Parts: sequence; structure tokens; C-alpha cells
Amino acid sequence: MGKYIGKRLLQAVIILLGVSVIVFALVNFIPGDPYSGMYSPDIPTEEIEAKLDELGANDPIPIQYVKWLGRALTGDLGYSIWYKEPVISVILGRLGNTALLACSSILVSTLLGITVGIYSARHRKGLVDNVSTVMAFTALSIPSFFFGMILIKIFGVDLQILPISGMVTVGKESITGAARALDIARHMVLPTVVLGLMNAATMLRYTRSSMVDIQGMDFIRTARAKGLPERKVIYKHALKNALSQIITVLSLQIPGLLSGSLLTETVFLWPGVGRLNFEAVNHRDYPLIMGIVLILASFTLIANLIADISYAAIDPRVLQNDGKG
Amino acid sequence: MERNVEKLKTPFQGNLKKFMTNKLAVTGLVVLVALLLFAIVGPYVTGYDEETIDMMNMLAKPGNGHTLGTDELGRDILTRLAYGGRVSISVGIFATLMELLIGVLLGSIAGLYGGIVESVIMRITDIIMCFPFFVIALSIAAITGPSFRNLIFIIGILGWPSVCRIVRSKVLYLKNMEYVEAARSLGLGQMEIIFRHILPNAMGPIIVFTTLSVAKVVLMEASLSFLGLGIARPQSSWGTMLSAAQNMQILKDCWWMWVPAGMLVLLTVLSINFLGDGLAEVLDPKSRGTGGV
Repeated sequence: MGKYIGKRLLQAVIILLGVSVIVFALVNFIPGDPYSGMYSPDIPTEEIEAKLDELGANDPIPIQYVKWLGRALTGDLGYSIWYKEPVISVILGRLGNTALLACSSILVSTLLGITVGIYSARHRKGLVDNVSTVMAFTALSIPSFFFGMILIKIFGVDLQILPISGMVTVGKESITGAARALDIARHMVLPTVVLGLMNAATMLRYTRSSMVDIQGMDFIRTARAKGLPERKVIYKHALKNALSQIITVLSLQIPGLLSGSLLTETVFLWPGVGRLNFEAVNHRDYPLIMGIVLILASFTLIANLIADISYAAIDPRVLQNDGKG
Repeated sequence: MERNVEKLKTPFQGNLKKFMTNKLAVTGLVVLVALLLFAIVGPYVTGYDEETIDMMNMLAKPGNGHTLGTDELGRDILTRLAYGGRVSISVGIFATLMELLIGVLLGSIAGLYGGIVESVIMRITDIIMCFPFFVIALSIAAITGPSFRNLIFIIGILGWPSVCRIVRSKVLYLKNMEYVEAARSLGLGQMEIIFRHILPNAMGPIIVFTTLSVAKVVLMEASLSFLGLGIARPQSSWGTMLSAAQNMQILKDCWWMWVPAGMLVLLTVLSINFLGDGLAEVLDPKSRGTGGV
């Protein structure tokens, strides 16, 4: 196990270096120097050149890369052109909101996906199974922003029962305590439905297929043959074995929720990292864009690593097969 | 007698029969053909041109000569949907072709040669897969600017790793089979072995990938164009038509300007996904169950 973790960690470091090279290359594709938005036009060119030399902007590319990487590792991702703040603090300011939305939608998707998935697997080709299969495919095929806009139209515009944008009601920013929590919760309903249902579809498909596979296995037949109650067979024996798959799906969904909520956050004007990313693109705020790319890619990498390791911890067969392919 | 007839069936006939019993897949195929016909033939039968401006009928409701109403310039929505379909579906096809070209080539090389070449290629796939799609696609689009060609380039360059992995693992498995060894001992070249003997046997997963990838790309195109970073004016796609609804007034009062475009995206992606799932059941049973995501 220790050897496996070490190998995965080494791989992760190599991948992270690759990620940083790509981000750095993108930064270098951008026309002009990264500070061009920061100085006023009446400063003489020689002075700017001298300052750029001092900052290392005219160094050879490999040296620039090493310097940039060193700064990035200490959390210095540059300065946002639009917000006039360090990139890292702009991102950290939004990360909490995205995490909040991610948590609520994971709750919805896990509960819904696992329960319906188990039920469908137990009653294959039944009504619930057929309906949920078609629904899951629909959820996987609908553009998230289109789904969001339909919900806005129905619940926000026609029925007028739910707020459709932002995180708090305009004019109520100063309220605190329970009233504020309730206000935020009301704003979370629609984006949570969009993200939760779309992720529930993936969860449902995985839960169902792994439960179907497991139900055909010998140890389940044995459990049934020795007269265990059905409930125990399903929840104690089958589910336990499907869990490794479910945990993998879950840990692979988390980075997706942090970044994939970009469209949902944009449609609902939710002040999270996804919308920040879109705004940064619109403002051509390149340091901020690259900071977000680097941070989210690292998140994905870490989540994949955790998924791999927890999978190996749950299912030791992974360790044996490692190195064969 | 009956049994003999059954035995004479080719694998293709058996697969076809199996495919035909999957109702969702057959429905998907039928709907998809209908959608393609609409995109190809539609513009000739609606009686309007993509850019025909009807000054008397701006933002007209459906009916009154315009089956699905008109947009803010008085252009016929139904006609624009057909033209938009051509753009959306061609992005899906061309970007998938680019993914296939890069992925199959690098996947075969990795599987066949192994060693350091394989490690380098596989680490590159790891690196690209680390980037959340929309985050990196948006960033590249911010540098390259929106256009049909750039969109295909961005999706292609980010999408090839998954087919590369599929092909590599297939090649790894197939290259040690006896029939490949026989081909090698007959003195056939690497190229001939890979193209005539290995890849044809890896076709199942590749076909399934291709189908599901077209669906995925149509979704990506719609999303990126919605954000203004995909298809650029004057060209329009379903995604750019949907972006009209970013205007709150249109979202509220003019459903015909964005709901039909969204429904067409949904219908296209859904039918391709059903079709792909049906194909997966027949051609590549192991990969099934994830709905292409």
C-alpha cells in the first residue's frame, strides 16, 4: 500500500508539473506583458523597460518559468487586473460560495442517485427503473444552462415563488442570523436542483449498474440461500461491495462541481468561482484566469489521487493489478 | 431446420437483431435521422432565408406565416433553427474527427511501442484530463477568440485523451494475440499490422466513443456559444440562439426565441446518447452504464 501511494504521489507531482507548464505557456501566449494594465500611460518607456527587467519579464523563458513556478508554489499567482487585488485572495473570496453550492448538490445527488439506483437494480425493467433510466439520460443530455433558464422561467417569472439570481436579495444584504440563512437557502434552491439532478443521473447509473453486477454474484446467492432477510442482503452485503464504485464516482464529481458549475453559476449569477472564471474571461483578466485554471486543475488532481488511494484501500485487488496495465 | 438457419447468421446480423430489440436505441436513431433531415432540407421548405429580415414582424409570436415566430430582427426562427442545426452538428462531427485522428494515432503508437514513448503519451493524457473542460476551454477561447475553426480546435485538442486511452488498452491486449504474431512472422510491416489487423478489431469501442463524443461536443458547442465563446456572428448555431435568453426580457416574454433551440440540443444529444448506449450494448458491453459521461 505504501509503495502504491508513493508511486501515485510521484505521478501526481509529474502531472502537476505538466499542468503548470501548460498554464505558463498559455500565459506566454497572451499578447503584451502581464503588467500592461497596471502602469499609467505617461510613464516613459525606458522606465517601464527598466522595471520589467528588474521584475524579470525579459529573462529567458525557462528562467521565467522557474521564477513563476516558485511564486505560484508560495501562493503568489499574480495580480488581478480587474479587481486590483492578488489573484489568490480573489479566488479564495469566492471559493466558499462555490463549496456551499457543491455541498448542497452533492447531498441531493447522492441521496437521490443511491436510493433510486438501488431500487432500480432490485426491480429491473420495472416502472421506476424504466422511468428513471429515461430521466437520467435526459439529465445527462440537457444543457445545464438551458435547464436553469427553464427553472427561472417557471419558478421565478411565471410562478414567482423563488428568487432567480444572486445569493442574497438585493436590499437585504445587511440582515443577519436566521433570516439571512433562510434568504441564502431560498437562493440556493434552483441552482441546487440543476446541479443536484444532473449529478444524480451519473450517480444513479453507476449505482444501478454496479448493484446489478453484484446481485448476480455467488456470495449474494449464498447470503440469500442461508436465509438472510432481503434487507440485510441488499444493504449489508451488496451495497458494501458497490460502495467502492460509488465513492470513486463521488470523489470524481467533486472537482466537477467546483468547476463544472461554471454555467449554472453564470445563469443564476451565483457569486462563485465558476462565474468568476467567466467574468475573468470577459474582462480579459489573464492572471486571474490562469490562477483559476491552475487551482482547479490541482483540485482535480488531488481528488483523483484520493479516489485512487481510497479505491485501493477498499478493494485490495487494485494493488495486485497495478503495474499490469 | 430452424436451428441451422440460426447458425448461418453473420455476427453483423446477430448484432443488428440485438440492436433492434433495444427500443430506446431504435427511437434514438429514428429521431436523429429526422433531426438531420430537418437541418439539411429544412431551409429549402420553410420559405425564408437565414438572414431574411421581416421588418413588419419583429419578435412575432409563433403563427402568422412564421411557424415558430421571429427574433428581434424579424428573422424566421424555424429557418434559423435548421441552419443552426447544420452548424451545431458539423461542429460535433468535425471536433470528434479531430479527437479520433489524434487519439487513435497516439493511442496506437503508445500501445505498440511501449516504453518511454508510451509513458510520455500517457502522462500527456493525464495532464490534459486534469483540466476541467469548461475552465480550460474558456481560457483558450479567450486567447484564440471565438470562431467555428477555433471551437473545433479547442474541443479536439482537449478531447482526444479518452479515445487515446481506449485505443492504447485495446492495442496492448490485441498485439500479443496469436493472429498478430502470425502476421508479424509473415513479415508484415508495423503499419499494415496496426491498420489492417489490430484497429479493425478495436472498432467496437471506437464506434461507441465516436457516437457518444458527437453528443458531448454538441453540448459543449451549445454551452460555449451560449457564453459567447463558441460560434461567432454572423454564423449562428443552436448555442448562439440560446444566448439570446441572457437578455431577461427575452427569457421572460419570448419563449419561442430560446426554448425550441434548447429543445433541439436536448433532443439531438439525447437521441445520440440512446443510440450510443444501444451500440455499446452490442459492440462494447463492458463500457456500458455510464450514459457517456
